[in-house]
Amino acid sequence: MSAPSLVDELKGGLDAPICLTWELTYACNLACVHCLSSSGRRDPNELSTTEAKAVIDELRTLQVFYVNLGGGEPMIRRDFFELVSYAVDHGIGVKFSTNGTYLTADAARRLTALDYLDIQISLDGIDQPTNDAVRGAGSYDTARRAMDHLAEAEFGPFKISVVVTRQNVDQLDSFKALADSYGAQLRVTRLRPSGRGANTWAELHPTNEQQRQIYQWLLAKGDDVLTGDSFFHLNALGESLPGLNMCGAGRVVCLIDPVGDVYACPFVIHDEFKAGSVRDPGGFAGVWRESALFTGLREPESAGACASCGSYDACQGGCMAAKFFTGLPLDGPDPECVYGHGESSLAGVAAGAAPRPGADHSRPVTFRRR
Amino acid sequence: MRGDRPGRAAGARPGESADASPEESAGASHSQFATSALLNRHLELDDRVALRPESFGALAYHYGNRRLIFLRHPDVLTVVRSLGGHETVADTLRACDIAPARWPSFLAAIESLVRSEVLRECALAG
Repeated sequence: MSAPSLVDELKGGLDAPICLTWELTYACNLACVHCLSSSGRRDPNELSTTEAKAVIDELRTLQVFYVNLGGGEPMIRRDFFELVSYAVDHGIGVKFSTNGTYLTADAARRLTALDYLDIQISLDGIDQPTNDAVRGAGSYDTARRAMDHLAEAEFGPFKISVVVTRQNVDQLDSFKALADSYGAQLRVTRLRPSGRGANTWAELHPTNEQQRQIYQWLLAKGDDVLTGDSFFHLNALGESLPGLNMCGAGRVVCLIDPVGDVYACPFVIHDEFKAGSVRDPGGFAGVWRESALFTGLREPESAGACASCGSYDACQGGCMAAKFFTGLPLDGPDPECVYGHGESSLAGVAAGAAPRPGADHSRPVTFRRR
Repeated sequence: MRGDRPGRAAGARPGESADASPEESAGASHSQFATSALLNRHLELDDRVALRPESFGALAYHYGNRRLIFLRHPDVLTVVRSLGGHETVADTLRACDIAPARWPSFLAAIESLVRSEVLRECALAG
């Protein structure tokens, strides 16, 4: 009998995640139309500094190598630098995503002084009109200013993080050139219909033809461009893109939200994927190791409706979050299945039948009279 | 199949968000010459690398280059931890009771770990 493959072993789950996403706050000064966490207003129940440090202590005990901090806008938290320093001092690497608003020249210098720190600045268009249509007025200038500050502080290779949309897919080469001009790394990820993205996905997600374009582009770029392993659904087109080619939810990754709830997938803040809370008696480790949800996700999955498709081994049926929030069965094709199986399934989803995202912290929409 | 050979180390860029995003290091191809040269080197674990034992072997994370590496067998972990304490790679393999038939796969793993900077020339060597 041969040893199981690495991927098969990882699918069975690890004693602790390899890395995890931790949204530090629901507060955000922006209101991006595709925000995964429907952020805007701070939740009054968010973890205190003491509680957040206790989580970091626990992650250290579990030997989690690094955390991806996000939000909301994580730099809004008053204890942001305190928490980042605490994590780094305890041997946990930090990568954080920011819109750049609070990344002043002074903040850039402070961040440069820290080890084990990676910064991702979000930018969803190579020009102001493309970016600001998604991220809001002024957000392009804000992001570029933050990049300039990091460059001036000689932070080193920060990351420019792009969510690929129908509107910016033709700008991939320009994004790469921009990253190169800063000595930065380009990171491109997949648009998910999560959070407010559920409302805008139909308009923003790349067309089938564009999916192929993304695949060819990523294949050509190889290791030069980071993807967070987010495009494995495209592997059905042929040669595999770099990455593990599996859904890591509850197996090697998970999400902690600002109030300490633990979800299986960084892209599914919804009760169905909530496994527990870091505030539970067993803490984070108890949730990771014992929750019924997580142990269930580590069982072998069924290919379901994809079983008869010759590409299932390559694409693994795609992304759980993308299926869930578009109302598709989890054991069927991804809504962006490159062979169009998802599109035909989508046609069968009744209007309003898809699950609504969980906790919504969007700011109330106000009508302004001029 | 990825990473299904014992002793094979897979390198990875640390997945920046959801996923671990590893890319496997290219399969090792080493000539006889390279093999004997490797056997005589005095290597050690880079002190910026953290090791986390797992049922399949171990996870290694390099805080300097941010690479996540899979050690594909518990014996590879034992060897990696022992390298610094022996004069040569060959001495280490013998001390860890690695059967000669398994040496090629261990050398391939060690070579790959040198490339990903998990292992480095021992500072005290010479």
